Amino acid sequence: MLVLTRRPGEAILIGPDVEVVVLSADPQQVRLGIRAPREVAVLRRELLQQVQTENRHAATPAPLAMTAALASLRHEGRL
Amino acid sequence: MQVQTTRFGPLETLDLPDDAALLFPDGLPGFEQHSAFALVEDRTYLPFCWLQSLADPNVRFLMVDPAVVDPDYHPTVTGSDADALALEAGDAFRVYAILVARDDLRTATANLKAPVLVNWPRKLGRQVILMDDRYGLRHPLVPADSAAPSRGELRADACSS
Repeated sequence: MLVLTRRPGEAILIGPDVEVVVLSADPQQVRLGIRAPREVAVLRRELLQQVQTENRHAATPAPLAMTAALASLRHEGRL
Repeated sequence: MQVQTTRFGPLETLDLPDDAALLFPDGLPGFEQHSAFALVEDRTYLPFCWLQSLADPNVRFLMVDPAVVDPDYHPTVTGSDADALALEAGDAFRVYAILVARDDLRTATANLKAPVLVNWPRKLGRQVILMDDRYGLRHPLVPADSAAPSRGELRADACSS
């Protein structure tokens, strides 16, 4: 990992198209501004990890009583 | 086309229309190696359907029309997500929410933060992580309060064959 130290107002260039600007920093958090072309996805890392985890939980057999659960949900007008 | 699935546990082989095949070029988060999927829609289970990996019968996701969870749910797609789905401004796309259901469908939660979007005419799909902070990873399928109003007309266009 490349480690750089920046002060608020300073920026980093990543490749020809991406710029990361340090907008402000305090002991609790750093505000970053990202300039990138629309085809480059920019995401908070923990968010991707959370979605990965949620998908792993999702890929399990559906409850076997699905037909009965569906019937009761329809009967209650929830569907 | 024939598709193998373990959506209820035991292995079953389904006969699906050829147009049920979808390409997810980047897979799904956590399942990046799976790019070929089938949309398994069965009238018996509407508004629920499945996204079934063609590479592994055990990799499948129960999905629901998000309008069942939130009738006002209308995510917008821009940037790299729109490009990946070959969507131009104004193009329609299908929206599904992946469910996590353990023992009971009634206690299932829907991922509204990262819906599955499908460009149906182009057979392209992508799970998109929304920037919108209103939506979370786990919206209850059934509201906790017992006095929830009836949903009225079922919006089946997301999971209809």
